Amino acid sequence: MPPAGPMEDQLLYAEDAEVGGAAPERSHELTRTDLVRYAGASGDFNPMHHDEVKAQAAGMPSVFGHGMFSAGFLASALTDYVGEGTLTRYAVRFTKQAWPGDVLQTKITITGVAGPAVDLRCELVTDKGVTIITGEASAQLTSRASAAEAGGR
Amino acid sequence: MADTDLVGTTLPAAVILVERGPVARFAEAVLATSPVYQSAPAAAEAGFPSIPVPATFTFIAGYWGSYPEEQPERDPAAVNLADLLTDLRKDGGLLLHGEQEFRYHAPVLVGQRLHSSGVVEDVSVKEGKGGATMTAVKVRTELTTPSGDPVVTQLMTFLIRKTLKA
Repeated sequence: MPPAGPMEDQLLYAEDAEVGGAAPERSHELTRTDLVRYAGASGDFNPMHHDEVKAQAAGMPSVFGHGMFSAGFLASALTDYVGEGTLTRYAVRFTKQAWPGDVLQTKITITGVAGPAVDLRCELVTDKGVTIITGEASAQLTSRASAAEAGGR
Repeated sequence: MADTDLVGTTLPAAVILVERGPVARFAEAVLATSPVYQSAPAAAEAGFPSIPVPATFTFIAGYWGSYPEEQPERDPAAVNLADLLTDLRKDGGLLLHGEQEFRYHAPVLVGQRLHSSGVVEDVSVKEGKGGATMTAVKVRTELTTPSGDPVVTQLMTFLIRKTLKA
């Protein structure tokens, strides 16, 4: 695993936003432990997400990911890029299920810029080429100038 | 009752506390690695008056922060979301979470009390092949400060897919 760099390394400032700009991709191999952790943190105890026996009895090959786990992971990549607290909108459509062993990859690109306001397209895809989520987001970016004024650290 | 008659049904109003432990553990669960969700000094350095929450936290905030003595008097006409979904599936059918949207009006911070209200905004039924139907139910939830200032609007779309039994 690469060492965690300071957040500022990838933070997008208003001055630097341009259409076609892309966020650093994050990727994560989905495990059953992820599903159990998300179930506990969210209170979503639908057995399809943690009980292999029940999932298979229902005709599924195995347990599968909560849509909102995937949406949460994609949002994490998004806020790493635009900054925490800058989002004004985040909308996702759940297209396919994510299965343990899938490597989830975030794809986030800027589709519009108007001053500090940006629109982004965000997707979560798997290493098998399956699209799990398609979505859109809008953010009101911090400017370099105001960030320097606020602390300059 | 036709599914479309559910339009206008309200969900029970709720008061939700935003607390530090749930926010920290939820951030880990969605792989939100920013230190602002874990450390008060990191949040302060990033300009937040208190620890902020991950972008999708409010979807589940009521699971952690709804305490009985904080709740407003129950509107007898209000329907729990879980009961609503059970009712929609009474004839069988596969329930899917189709879409989810968040509109952020103000930051959500640890220590806040949020007031939640919800309504079934739209129900649409599409006919498919061989009598199959797809019902889309859109639920809007408004989270506000105790004085009513908007904080987050959540739009949840559920899909119920039914195939006609022979």
